[in-house]
Amino acid sequence: MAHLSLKVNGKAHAVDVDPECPLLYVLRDDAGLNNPRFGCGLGQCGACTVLVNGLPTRSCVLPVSRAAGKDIVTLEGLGTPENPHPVQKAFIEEQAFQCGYCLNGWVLAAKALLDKHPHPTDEQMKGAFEGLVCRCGSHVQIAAAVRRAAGMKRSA
Amino acid sequence: MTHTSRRAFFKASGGLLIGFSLSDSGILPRLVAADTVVTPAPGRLDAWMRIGKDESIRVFTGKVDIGMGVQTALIQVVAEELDVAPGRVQLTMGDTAATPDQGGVGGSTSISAGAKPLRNAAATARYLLLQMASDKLGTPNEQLQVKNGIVSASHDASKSVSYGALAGGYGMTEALRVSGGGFALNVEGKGKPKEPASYTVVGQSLPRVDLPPKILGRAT
Repeated sequence: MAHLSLKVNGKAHAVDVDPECPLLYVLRDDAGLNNPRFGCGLGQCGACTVLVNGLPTRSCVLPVSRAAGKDIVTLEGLGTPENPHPVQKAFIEEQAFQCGYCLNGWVLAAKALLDKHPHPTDEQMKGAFEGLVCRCGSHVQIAAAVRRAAGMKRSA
Repeated sequence: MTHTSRRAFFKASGGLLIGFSLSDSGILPRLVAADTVVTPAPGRLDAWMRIGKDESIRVFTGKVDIGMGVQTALIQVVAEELDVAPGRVQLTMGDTAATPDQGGVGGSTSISAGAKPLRNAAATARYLLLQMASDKLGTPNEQLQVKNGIVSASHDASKSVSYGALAGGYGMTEALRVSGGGFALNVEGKGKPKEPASYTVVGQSLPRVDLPPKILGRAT
């Protein structure tokens, strides 16, 4: 067990955990931050995504010790109900999701994509969303939401 | 407690086969919960909705929303029958201690079958509220109209009373006729639902009420 300090959404969280424990479990079970979800435990579905120093990261395969001292952002850290992040606003306006289990990964990945490529090409979108899974099949609406957030036409 | 892997456990026990049919699975949870949780009996109006003195409108359904948007749709159904803004309807879903047992969700039946008792209960609530308003305002039913949960005389807007003022102390204990069970559960009462041709809320494409909290990472 190790005493670690995690900086999540600008706030410090002191935890006492096995340094090899995946960040996902520490965030959910020790810090009570439930936005990242367990989907596969293999880093292959993206439900566990958090931003670590701005980069989308699969928290289910990242040892918590590797996240200490870095800037971690979860979904609720992007914006508030009174002041949503433009990406969140676009997804709400497009009514993009169905069950919502996967949405954590898509919204964070979209935010990181648009930070890097404000008007992404189809190829750039494909690259950003590689490794994200939506079993409800909301991909068309998700893509429309990303383009909406970018101020682009809703469909290619 | 010794730690053992699931694989080792099954190997040691020589394999393990657990099977129960879908019909049994309806019984098992009930046996377990029998002495701890009492699911509301559907034969009373207040099992389906309650209107508070504070004008709150709380509705109860056994259905749950797993992404098909039925939370929003059922709110529209009730808002239509009650003549209130959809935003005022608070829907409690799938709580075994607080909502009637409507089976589960599946087969695209949550509206075609699951909305029926809500629609009828809301229509009955509106009927009763109009009766109470008629008594209170000294105005016959035919001369009353409802807008946004306020009942008023059609020819004299100053003669008005709100749902909360009418129902708040009443408790809405009106008995309802129960038929069917599970997915087919229905209730009927004195109120008759509106004709679809008159709909102003049902049939509109409203944004889902559950998406913003989820997308903002604040859903509970």
